[in-house]
Amino acid sequence: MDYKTVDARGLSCPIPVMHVTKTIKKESGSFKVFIDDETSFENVMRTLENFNLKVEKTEEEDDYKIIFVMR
Amino acid sequence: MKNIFASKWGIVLAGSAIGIIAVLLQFWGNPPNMGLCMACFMRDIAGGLKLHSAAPVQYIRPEIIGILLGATIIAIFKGEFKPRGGSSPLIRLFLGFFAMIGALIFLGCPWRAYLRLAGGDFNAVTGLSGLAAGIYIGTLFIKKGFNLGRAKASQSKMSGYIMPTIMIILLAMLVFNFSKLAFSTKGPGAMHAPLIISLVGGLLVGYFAQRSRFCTIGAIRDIFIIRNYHLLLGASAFTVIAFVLNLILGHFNPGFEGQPIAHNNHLWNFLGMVLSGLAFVLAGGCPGRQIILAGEGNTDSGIFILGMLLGAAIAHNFGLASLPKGVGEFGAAATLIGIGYTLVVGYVMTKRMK
Repeated sequence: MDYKTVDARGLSCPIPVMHVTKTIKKESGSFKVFIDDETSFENVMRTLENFNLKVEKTEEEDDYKIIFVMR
Repeated sequence: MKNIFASKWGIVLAGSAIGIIAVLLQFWGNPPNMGLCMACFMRDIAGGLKLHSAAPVQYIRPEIIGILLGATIIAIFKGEFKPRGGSSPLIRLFLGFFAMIGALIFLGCPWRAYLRLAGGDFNAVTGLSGLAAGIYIGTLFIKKGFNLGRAKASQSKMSGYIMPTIMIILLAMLVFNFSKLAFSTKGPGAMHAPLIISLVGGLLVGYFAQRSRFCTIGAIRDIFIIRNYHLLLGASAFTVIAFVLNLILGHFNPGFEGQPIAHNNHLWNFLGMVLSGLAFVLAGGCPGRQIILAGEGNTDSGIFILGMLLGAAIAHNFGLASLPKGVGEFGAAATLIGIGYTLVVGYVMTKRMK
């Protein structure tokens, strides 16, 4: 499965949500979001919920998380 | 471990708690409609440190100390203390500088704008309209790809501890009545709740604001940018609870004229907050949020709030700040320069980074 990458690490509010929203609207297919901040993580999860997208899984690396969204 | 304050009810609870604390601080001695004002209080701290010599506004406000340290403590406890930074720090320093200039023209940061509204000061409607306009302009840049660059984990964790340490030093100076500090004997700087109440109030606000990600700028910004009302819920709860408490305590005095520590120059109330709105939204959050982030180890936010301190010092040294009788001598010019700066930052930093 080919996942497009959205790298939201180190970006100020509200840019992570902007990037995810843009990907949802302008691209099709699955994507994964790299997030290294808990607030951005909560915001992105809320955004995905608002778009009725299901989170397939989240992985934890050393200092960031990856959210996998399948569609 | 789920964050209960991240839910709708969570942020309503947090906003309400912060509103209650704000009005109680007013009740126990803070200036009217100024239970919590990040800009005014940073300005008072600048005065206490003699960075400016405006005698009525000199006092090291324990609320700011408490809010930052409260955020540090809970962030460490929850594993969210992450020293990081490097996202255009010098640009952010001057965003903070001009955000403060704008706030001192209106005589309040966004938190105080909501509190003034809750107190019946209709000039806050003018101010909040200006704030919304400034935020709106900022969102036009954000939608086109505005970005100050990625922050990275700090090379040494030490840098994340600098702002909390500075706050502890300020607190020690206050507690031990360090003779070099200035303390207003008249004016708003002389109106303050007892130290321990201000400090505990601040610590609690730090906790609630950090957990809920409370942000008075994001509340308006997210309506424009993603049609999301989550942060607005928090800011609204804050305002409504403050309004209700003001009614109960007899602190609600509706009108435009004669409002406490306010003026009714509508044009500059509006434009001052346009500047603040622009500056805060480009920096990623309201001054309360910046203080919280600084407490979490975000050095970019630390620099932003130092910029606010610098702005407050310059504002009072150069006659930029407003007084209850009206706008300062060079306030208008400073506001226009600031709006120019933020527009340039917005324009230049759009589509520059991916």
